[in-house]
Amino acid sequence: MEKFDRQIRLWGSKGQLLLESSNICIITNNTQTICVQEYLKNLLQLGINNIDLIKVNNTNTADDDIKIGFFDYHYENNKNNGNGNSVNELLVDNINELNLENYNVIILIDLIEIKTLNFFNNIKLNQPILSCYSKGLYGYLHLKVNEPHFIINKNLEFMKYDLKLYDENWLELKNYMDSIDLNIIELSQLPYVIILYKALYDLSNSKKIELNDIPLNQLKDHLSKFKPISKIVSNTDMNYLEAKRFAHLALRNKTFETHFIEQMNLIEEINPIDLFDPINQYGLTIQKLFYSYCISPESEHDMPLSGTLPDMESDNRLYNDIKTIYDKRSKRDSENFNNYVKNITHEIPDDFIDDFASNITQTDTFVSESNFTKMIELNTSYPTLILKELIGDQYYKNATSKVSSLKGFNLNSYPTTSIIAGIVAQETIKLITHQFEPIDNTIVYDGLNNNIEIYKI
Amino acid sequence: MGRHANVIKIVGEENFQKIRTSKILLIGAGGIGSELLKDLILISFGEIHLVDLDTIDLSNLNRQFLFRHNDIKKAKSDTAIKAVSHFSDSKLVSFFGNIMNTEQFPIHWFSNYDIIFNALDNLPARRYVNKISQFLGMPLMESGTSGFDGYIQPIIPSLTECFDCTKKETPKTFPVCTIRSTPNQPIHCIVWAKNFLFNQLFTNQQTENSDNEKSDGSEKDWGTTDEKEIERIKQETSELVDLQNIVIENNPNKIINILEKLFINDIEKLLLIENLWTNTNLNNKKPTPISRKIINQMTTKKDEQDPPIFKQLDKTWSIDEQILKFIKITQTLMNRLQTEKSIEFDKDDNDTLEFVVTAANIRSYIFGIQMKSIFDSKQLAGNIIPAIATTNAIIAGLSSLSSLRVLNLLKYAELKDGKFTDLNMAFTSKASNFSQDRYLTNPKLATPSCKCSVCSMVVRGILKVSTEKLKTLKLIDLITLLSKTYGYTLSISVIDTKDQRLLADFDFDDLYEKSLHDLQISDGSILFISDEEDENDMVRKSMELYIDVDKDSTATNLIELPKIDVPLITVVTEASKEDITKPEITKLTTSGDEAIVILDDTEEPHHVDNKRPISESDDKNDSVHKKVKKVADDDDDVIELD
Repeated sequence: MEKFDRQIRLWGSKGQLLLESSNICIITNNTQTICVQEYLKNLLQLGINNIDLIKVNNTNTADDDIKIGFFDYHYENNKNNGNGNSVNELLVDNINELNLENYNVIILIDLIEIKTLNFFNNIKLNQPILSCYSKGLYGYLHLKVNEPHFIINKNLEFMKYDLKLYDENWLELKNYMDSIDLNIIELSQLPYVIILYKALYDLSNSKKIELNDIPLNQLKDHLSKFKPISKIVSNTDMNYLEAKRFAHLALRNKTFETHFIEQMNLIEEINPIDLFDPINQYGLTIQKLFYSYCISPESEHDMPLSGTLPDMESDNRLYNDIKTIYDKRSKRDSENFNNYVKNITHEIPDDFIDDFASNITQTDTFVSESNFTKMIELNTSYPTLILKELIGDQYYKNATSKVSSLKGFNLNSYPTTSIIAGIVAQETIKLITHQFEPIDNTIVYDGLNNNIEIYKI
Repeated sequence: MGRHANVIKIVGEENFQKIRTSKILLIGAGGIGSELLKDLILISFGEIHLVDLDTIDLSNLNRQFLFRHNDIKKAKSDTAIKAVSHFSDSKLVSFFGNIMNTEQFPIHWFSNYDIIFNALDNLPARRYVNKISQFLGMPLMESGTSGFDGYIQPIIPSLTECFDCTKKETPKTFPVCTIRSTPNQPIHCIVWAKNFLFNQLFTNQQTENSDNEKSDGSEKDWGTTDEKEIERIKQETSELVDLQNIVIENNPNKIINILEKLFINDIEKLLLIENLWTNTNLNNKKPTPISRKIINQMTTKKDEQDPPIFKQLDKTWSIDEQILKFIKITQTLMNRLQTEKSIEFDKDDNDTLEFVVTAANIRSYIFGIQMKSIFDSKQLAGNIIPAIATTNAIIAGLSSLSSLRVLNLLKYAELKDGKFTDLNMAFTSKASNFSQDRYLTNPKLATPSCKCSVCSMVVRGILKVSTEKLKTLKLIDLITLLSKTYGYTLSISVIDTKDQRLLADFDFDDLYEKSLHDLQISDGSILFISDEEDENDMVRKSMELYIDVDKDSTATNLIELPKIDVPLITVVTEASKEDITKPEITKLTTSGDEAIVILDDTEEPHHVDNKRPISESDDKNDSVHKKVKKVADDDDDVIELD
């Protein structure tokens, strides 16, 4: 653990465990290229220890790369049990011989053989495919994800809270809020969650609007109008300013709910029971279960509470009281969902279910269908020109021998390749840990100007 | 060699020869340093000299790929050089030492290089090297990473922005009373345990600059005006001497007294200051002392075997377990103190870490603050910045590639007329965030900020002097010489920047007859010269003079002033001056400011903010005259204590 301390601080021990137990497949025509070596160095340092390095036999490979043995992966082994090497080299004649289902991520590095390239362009796999190619001072990276890729972001800095003030059935909250008398307590002591609650219900009652239908601007407007507040003229208290700023948290987040249903549509055709494949479909399985839980007719399940109560300006006692109510609800929601899942399957570990249930608004799915032939139709900005040249060189290297119009095209530079390999490894981390959003879906690097552009293809 | 052929293709035969004869200074052999070393070798630079002050630690191995398990505890610079020698055809030299040590690395040593690469992890060293690069007019490739994010900034002195032209985030600070009386976040308790409690008990430093009046007689600012509370804080400090004695005595039976004092008696006294708890504007939550029963119970268990949970560093232990661990670890530290005399807090020294974390957690419990695991606390206490191999690889690649353009060796992208503002800096955008529209931003370099106190507001030069001359040269001689050579008036003020010590100004001439040597000016000292006297609203620009002592020279009279012009500039108004000149030595007069406790800043993030001028704030050296400096910051009026 100590060895990986600095990175566990980014993705936690769960993320680290996913990295260490992941299976990575690298497919290339030449295992000695700088890019392959740099990429392997990056993976091994992260603690990844099941890597199949597959060389597709290709008699046409023009081997103009220079072998620089700065890092000998044969001696690098992350496996403590002495059971084989971290990197297994395989030579295959035909890519069909491989069972690609065994891997978490498939990486194509500097592939230049058209048969294999086309194979990956046409194949529909559950696994994400990252493909990169660099030449001269330029390089690109492309991500293809056919099946939804599941992301659960636990970075609390960007936590999206849901206060559920609109939930009239939440009696504990209702009773507590009703017990607060705004005529007795000084406004400056109130946490914004109470101010919002009072304003929300006051607005709903006085204007006869359904809680669920109140628009944000009307609530904000009402915040300055409604009585307990309007008696204090220019209010600059932090808690009041916070109430205005976070007014959206008081309302039902319909955007999220629509987005959630869209995500579900992406995986509509998949039968949840088929999905208990711990490598790839974990998150999706849960998400699917979650969806069915929310819409199940026999229950009145709302979305479980995501996270708990955010920090806010407040009197300590009031804050702690409300926090207790939120913590209880969060725990109860998690337990209910957990029980629901347990009725269907026992294959998903508890802590994973809990993580999911308490972070539901942080989850996202990601699909990136791509079409390489479209790439040629791109506009003619400088970075897309680079991309076209790179793809042309990669796919048709041997067919065309035209001189590139780009200045840095034939200038092989070590740092450029090192940067590309770094980016590929960075994206690999995002895909394996399921905690960070990967690129969507193509990066072009221009080493002459140190520029990176992102395109969706 | 094929590698050469590739580089020649990029830079051309002629420039390749330049690369082969270039001397590179690489400072830092950590995450970025390892990657840079490899990249620079593969570009075939002629000589690469590597400096690092650190030894290898287990937690380095996730990214510093040149190091292996059996290298732990060895010097980084030397180990790195050995690890790359098999694929290097560059001449490699390693140095083990702190780059800011002027004895080991005097300014003329720096002048041997063609370009400097910074691969550092802390702000003071970055600023120091930036200054050196400004003195020498030597290009500097600055870089840094934090988690998924990183940046590079090429710095070409006098032509592009220097490192200090933009404001950097300085260490977080807290009011004294928050730390000592009314904590409300885990970090407050950790600062209390680490900067106050631990230092008082185990670090052998005398308490002269603790809570008593400052040596210049000015009142300390407490962040509160409550007399009772100030009185209590002072008393609490003096009572700590008793605890120190227990620790020195090494009497394990008295650890219970430490617990009682810190977690019962002190808290009870705190509760007596009613203002703190009844004033609703303060919103302070009343603390609850630990019960004597638990303390007694845990004390009886102190010789039993550790419960298994003590191995689980990522779990938050119960209050009982915190107390038990506190007792055990205090005993361990007391034993160590018998032989070590003084123990410094070090996040990688588990005993010190566990002491600080358990003490902080017990205090948190008392104040109703959430307790933290050892793992989480370590990040707060040690200012740990997450670090991964991949970001370092990307940043080092960007830095090494850019250096070819800085040195103007890239024949396909030549800089026209030395127009360095055509170059780019680069930040990887928050890759950890959900924003994915930009992966990297690469603005063109800006010209130096006219308000920057490091590169624009002063002229710089190196004063070369022999050891003998330093002993005979009186301060007044130097002032006369400066006035004759550069046109200053005789009433200039002279400040030793190391400790902001005033040596002379228009109404302070007591030290005129002292020699520079007597004034403790030595090799590496930097004098700040400024002229207050104005003629027709014009004044000579201020100067920073680096004292370069030529130790080899036996000449009694060697003194060489830098060949520079010091222009006349328009006098700046008092109001704007506050913002832009070096912070002046001022007594604390503003009331309502908060005195603050400084966290150490060994590994703070390096955020760049283009908006505001930099404030000088991390001179941590012990000063002869302890002064309070006013930080030149237009928004926040905070005071930092030296």
